[in-house]
Amino acid sequence: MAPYVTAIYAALLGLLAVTLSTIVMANRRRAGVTLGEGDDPRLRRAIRVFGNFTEYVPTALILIGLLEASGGPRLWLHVLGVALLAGRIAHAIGLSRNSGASAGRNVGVLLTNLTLIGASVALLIVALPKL
Amino acid sequence: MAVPVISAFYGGLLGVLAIVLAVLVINQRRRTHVGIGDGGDQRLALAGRAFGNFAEYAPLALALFALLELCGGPRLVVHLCAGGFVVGRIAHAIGITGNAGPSTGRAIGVVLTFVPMLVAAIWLVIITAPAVFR
Repeated sequence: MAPYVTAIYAALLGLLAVTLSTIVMANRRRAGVTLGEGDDPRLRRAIRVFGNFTEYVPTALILIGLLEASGGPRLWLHVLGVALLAGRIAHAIGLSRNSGASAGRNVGVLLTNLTLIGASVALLIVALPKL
Repeated sequence: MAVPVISAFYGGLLGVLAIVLAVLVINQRRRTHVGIGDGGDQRLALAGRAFGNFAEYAPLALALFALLELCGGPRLVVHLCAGGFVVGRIAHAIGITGNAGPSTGRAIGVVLTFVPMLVAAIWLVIITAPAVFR
């Protein structure tokens, strides 16, 4: 059985990654900064939205994919996938608007970390007995 | 579960490229004696961004290619996506190492990063949606 559930969330997150990266490039062109962050606040925020995404999403997806490959329950996979996707969208919206704390950013951080914790604990539960 | 050998092959190439880019950063750090950050050195900053940009895209892209292969995506599409991505990352690394501004290598790199990721992501949505929502 192929990891279809992970695949669909990975695909949606892949589209989000390309979108966030395109926003960085648009801001680079607008601000005329080709390397590094420069002093432009909107460019700096766009870079951190994409940067934070790339720091967490690959690990989370690999954990969810391993859970699916290890025979984890479908419902868990969907809950983790939806939480990760919703968290990344909330984080992107929150941080794009201002650099300080915001509801979107808090929700994003919470959902991202819950996904990592949930997937890790679920993997331990599913995989440890099979060692 | 089947083994995603095509993605594994290109994954191996990307792993080698990651090490090469990391060694280039280490060389610049030794030359400039800058342990963290870029210390205002242009060549260290460029090497850092060549590696950083690779690290931002390669894990997610490779996961997409492997999932596409595992979920029954056409072999040719997996080869084109993963092979194109490898070429794109090499082009981007060469372009950005040469100078900080826009360059042909960097432009090719961006296109050959985005197009394979978009194709793999959209293809995955199309082939997995019936299995997920049945």
